[in-house]
Amino acid sequence: MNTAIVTLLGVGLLASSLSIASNHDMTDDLLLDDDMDFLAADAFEVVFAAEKPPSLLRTLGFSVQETLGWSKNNAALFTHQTTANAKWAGGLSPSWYLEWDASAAAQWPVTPLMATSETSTASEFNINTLYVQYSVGPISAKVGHYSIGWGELEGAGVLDIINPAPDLTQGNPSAGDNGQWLASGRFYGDQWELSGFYTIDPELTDMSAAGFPAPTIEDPEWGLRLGTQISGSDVSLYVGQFVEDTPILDLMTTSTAANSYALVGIAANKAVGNWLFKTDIAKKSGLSLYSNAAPTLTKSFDRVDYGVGVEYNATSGQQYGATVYGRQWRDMDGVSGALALSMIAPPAITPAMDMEAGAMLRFSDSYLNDDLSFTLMSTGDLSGAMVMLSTAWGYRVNDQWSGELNLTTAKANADSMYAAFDGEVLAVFSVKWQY
Amino acid sequence: MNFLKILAAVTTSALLATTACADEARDLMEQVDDNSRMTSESAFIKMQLSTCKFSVADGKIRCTEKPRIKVLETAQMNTGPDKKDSKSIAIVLEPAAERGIGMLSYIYDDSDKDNETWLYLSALGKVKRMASGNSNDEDSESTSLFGSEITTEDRETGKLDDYTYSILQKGDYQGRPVAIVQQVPIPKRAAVSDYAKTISWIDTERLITLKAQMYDKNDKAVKRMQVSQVEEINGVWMARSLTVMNLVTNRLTNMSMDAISFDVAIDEAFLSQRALTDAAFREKHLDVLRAQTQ
Repeated sequence: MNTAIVTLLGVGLLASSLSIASNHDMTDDLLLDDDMDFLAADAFEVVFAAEKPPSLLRTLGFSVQETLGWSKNNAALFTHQTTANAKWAGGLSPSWYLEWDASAAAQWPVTPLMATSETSTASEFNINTLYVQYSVGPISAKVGHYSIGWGELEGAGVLDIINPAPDLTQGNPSAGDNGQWLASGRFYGDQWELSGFYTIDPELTDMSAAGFPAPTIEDPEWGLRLGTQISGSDVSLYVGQFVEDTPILDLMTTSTAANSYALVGIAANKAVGNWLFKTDIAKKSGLSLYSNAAPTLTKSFDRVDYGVGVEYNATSGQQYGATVYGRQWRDMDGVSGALALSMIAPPAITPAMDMEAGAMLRFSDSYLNDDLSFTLMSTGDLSGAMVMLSTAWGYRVNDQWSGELNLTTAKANADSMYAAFDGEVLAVFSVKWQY
Repeated sequence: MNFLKILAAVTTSALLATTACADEARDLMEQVDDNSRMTSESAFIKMQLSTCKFSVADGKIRCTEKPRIKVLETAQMNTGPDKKDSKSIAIVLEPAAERGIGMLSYIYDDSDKDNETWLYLSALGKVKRMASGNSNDEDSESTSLFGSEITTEDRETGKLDDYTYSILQKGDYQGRPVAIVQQVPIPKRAAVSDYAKTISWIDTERLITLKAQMYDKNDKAVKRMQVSQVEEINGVWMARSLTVMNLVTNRLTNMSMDAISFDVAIDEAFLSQRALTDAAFREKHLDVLRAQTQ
């Protein structure tokens, strides 16, 4: 009997081994090399080491970009620009850091969007970024021309208002420089951070191509942010004084106005698995619009801006995002219907009602690689006088070559102030080579 | 009655054999995991990530496009109870256009606690939290490392209880003694993993993975990982080069570690959001780490 049991145990072991062996789908001996095995001598690091750019270009960034913009209603190019850009960043000493990013642009003759005569070739030089940063103990200070991002919702205009919008008259929301001259500081605590900035010469959205003078700005901009981390969440409180990034326009007097206003706000996010939920809320007091009493007088009023967003990591490297936002205007009695000229500058649209809303959808794969990115944005006033839809596709062919296409369309009621923009399609295409 | 005895004996012996095999596999994987943790204890590494589409011809694997190359510096240390958690930061050095982009990650061994990841977006001038996934949440999947084919799940340590292990075969592979281990996620883990099964070629002396092949829920091979340039550094065996091939998209990423240093003195304050926003602070700490690197 014992012999039988020993035999049966042996059978059991054999059965077990056969079971394990059949638990994978490889019929060949797993120890044999297959055609995709490679040895150290065939390793890829040798191949890739030869692909590195010259040493100078590893630290000095350089790019050339060609941009073309076309308007359907004008049936003509409205922008044609060639831009060369260079940048460098690095430590100067153990406590000092420098970064600069400058570009030179040539604008070729085209039919401007807001005029009929052709312009001549022009050129300009821009400092996009130039700052020094100093760090000692728990304090950091930074002075120069750069961007600061506030809030969680990029592009919704609730709290991300410090930097002037790009030159929207070029029809390309992602083009141009959007930093400004700032002095800022941060104090780093344990799980919290207090930061502030100040600028005596706030920069606004460039509307010069539309033929309007830049408004005189008398007040500085400043802001404070207190941020803290709670597991899985970041929460920030904001207070500050700002000047509206996009000046309000009055076609009757061909004047512009940009007054200062006060802001208090809060932003928070919460990550849950592959989901990220975000919200921004801000109350802005002292915003201006033209008064009914006299065309050149402005009336002060308040507005509450808010938005929520969600991001989802669908698979490795793929991201989906959606944002909805609104603006609730208060105390609108006595405000005139001052015309908003720029159809591609949503904040400039004078509200026909006391509320505006917008939405954005985003898709990208490889978050930092930008192999493919897509943005869809819809905005307009709730009266339906005009609805604007803009899309952006970006594609990076490789480390050196990339392209981007922006399309903006507008649908406006014939009896509204936006009638001239009905059916407009703006297409802006750019191709970029960079190291 | 005899039939029941026979059935019980066969079942028991099969169970004992399977359990013994599983125990051996689990022990081996624990040693591999411990070895892997040693490579992340106060480590500073300069690495190059190279990614391209590939094809196989004449027994050779070749890129079919110009590869995308990123050079990173990473610092990592184990923290928390029993040093089971980890904090790490990766800063892009090249290409110059992306220089300064940084990713900060806190990985928690406790599966009830969300892992956390932040990115610094220099163009926007802000730190952005990423939905980096929590291995304990349903629908959670892994995050790509700077757009490469290497994901956080591919580099994960710990969480051994989330898998069952068995040894499929033992012998020599490319001149090294190996055990071929099959790793299958338990149902809770399977719901959130990219892989339904992983087969790993484990060097039983050096306690590192020489090769691994990952399978999807249809038992189709979807990814392969292979290492080269295995060296002993500070008494720990590790590979200086790791290549991950996505067999679905035919893209591969090679991670080549140009400079490695263990047991370096890393100030834990460096592994914070400040290192993303305060470039002077970041460079000061990186200079200290570079000076300690081989």
